[in-house]
Amino acid sequence: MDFPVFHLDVFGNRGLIAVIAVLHVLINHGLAVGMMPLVACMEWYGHRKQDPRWDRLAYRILFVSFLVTTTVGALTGVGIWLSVSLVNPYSIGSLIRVFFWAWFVEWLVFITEVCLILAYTLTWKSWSEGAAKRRHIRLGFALGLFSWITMAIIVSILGFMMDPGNWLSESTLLAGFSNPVYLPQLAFRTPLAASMAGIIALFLIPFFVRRDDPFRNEATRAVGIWTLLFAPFVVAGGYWYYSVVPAAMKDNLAVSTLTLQFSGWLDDFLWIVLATVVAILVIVQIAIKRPGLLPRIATVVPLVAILWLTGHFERVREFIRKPYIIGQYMYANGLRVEDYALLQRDGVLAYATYSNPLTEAEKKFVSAERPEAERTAALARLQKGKDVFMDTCSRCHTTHGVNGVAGHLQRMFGDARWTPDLTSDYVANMHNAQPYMPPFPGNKDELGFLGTYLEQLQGNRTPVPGAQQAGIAIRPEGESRLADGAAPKQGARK
Amino acid sequence: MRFISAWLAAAPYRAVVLNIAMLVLLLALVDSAAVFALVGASCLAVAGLIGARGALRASFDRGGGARAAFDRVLVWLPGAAALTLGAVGLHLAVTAPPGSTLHLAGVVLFGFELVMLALPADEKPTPAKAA
Repeated sequence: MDFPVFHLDVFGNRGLIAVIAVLHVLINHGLAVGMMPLVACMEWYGHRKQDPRWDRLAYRILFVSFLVTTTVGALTGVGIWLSVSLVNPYSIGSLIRVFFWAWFVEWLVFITEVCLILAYTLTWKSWSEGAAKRRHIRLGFALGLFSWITMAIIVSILGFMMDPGNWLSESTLLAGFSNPVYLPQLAFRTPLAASMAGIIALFLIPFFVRRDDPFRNEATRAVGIWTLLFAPFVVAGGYWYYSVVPAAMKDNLAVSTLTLQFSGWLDDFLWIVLATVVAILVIVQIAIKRPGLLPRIATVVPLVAILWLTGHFERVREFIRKPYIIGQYMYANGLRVEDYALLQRDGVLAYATYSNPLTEAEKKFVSAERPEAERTAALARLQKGKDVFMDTCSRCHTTHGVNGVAGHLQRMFGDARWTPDLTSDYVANMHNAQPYMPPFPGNKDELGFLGTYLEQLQGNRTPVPGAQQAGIAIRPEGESRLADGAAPKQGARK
Repeated sequence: MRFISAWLAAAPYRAVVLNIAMLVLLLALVDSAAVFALVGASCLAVAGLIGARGALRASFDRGGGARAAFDRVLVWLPGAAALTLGAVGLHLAVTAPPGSTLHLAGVVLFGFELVMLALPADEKPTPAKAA
């Protein structure tokens, strides 16, 4: 609680990260990790066959990939850092401490990748003959390799967040890097990226090769083969990956797949997923067997399907590890598991540096007609409730927006008054009923404060601004503790 | 009738698709898992063997080297994929409760993969054009 609370009360903080991160993954997997080897293979194949049509097609596809990866891809990469640092600085801070050198190496590899894609694209036409062409093809495969290495490093961090494995006892980079989820996830994502690239290339071919050119069928068939070649590995890798997901997390599958409201539809949803996979396979098979029969519009189906499936997979992966953001180490609210005993004794506000000022709409909850002393005390109580909410709930929840607490309370308690007693009893035990929720980290008084704040939400639908809009205040308790030298110093906590 | 004959003759694959569709429909209507399994497996085996013979022949036509290896993948993979998925479809059609979504999906998948196996890949690589 050493940072001001950034908060988006309509769209939700998670939505911000999700949009940026999912877009980045789709570009990274489809247009970099999978596409660069495919383009290099096309170039190599055309060179071996002395068929310049392959060369032309490969260059056009590369140019699209180059444009998208170096603009939207690069921006969303930076956007992930920015958004996660704003939304959950504690988790990204922990990850940087554990994976500092891995990320440093990844940065070097990424810079190399950027240089390689620039060189590969810009030298395509000048390195087109003899030894220079062979060198250029090698450049393409090197680019593919470096793209894959960046993914291979980041996947380890994603696996770590799901299950840190031996790192919990050893606390070394190697133990964290070699977490139990790492290799299975890499074995899943690698062929997924290759297949996705094939599907994107299938979609692009009709834009670059005329319908009456027989080469269009030849290219469609070859790219279809590429896609189909990796499909069984996607299935096998996916099965391996699923098998190492901790059992407690598998219990979250329904909610992580469909949200709490629609979790009962899991079986139907899985059927839709299966049908989507089959639809992709069917169209790819037609592309291989009878490419001439495949209308251009049909290639949109596997494209949309693979983008949706991959995007949805990322959503599930992010949610399924709840209540943790880093498995068994840090809860989704950014508080460490081992700090809970301390926080539940002293209260979270004792360690909160900043306060989130009440808005005018929130202040209206306390009647202006009450005696001044009483009103001041009530406002102070409400202020504490808001601070507890912002520090412990707002990483995942809004008030009335996406995943809003008001919606959940309305579903549970209906129009009955959400009294502090009613809601605080629920909050105190919610992690037992809903295992994806972390336990409440504060003390009993703070449960009451939170209950007061939740009560005013029943009649106040005004969005709550985050620190980026409303600013912050230093908490008086924090100031006095700092003056006494009793407050925990930064760095005293791991 | 003449119109149907002309339509079928216009593209040979139409007759293959129609024949297989009628066969699968018949197997589904018979409503016997044993018959479906026996006839379906036989169809897959025959189509698979014919496909393998063609793929084997095409493989021997290629030279050596890495490009030839890729060309062999081009020859073998579609049939192998169709055979695998066809077997999955047959398994679903035989084991899932009749009338269920799973059963229907299995029947459709089996029929489609049988078509994929039975249709010859008649398109040859086209000669390269000048740059």
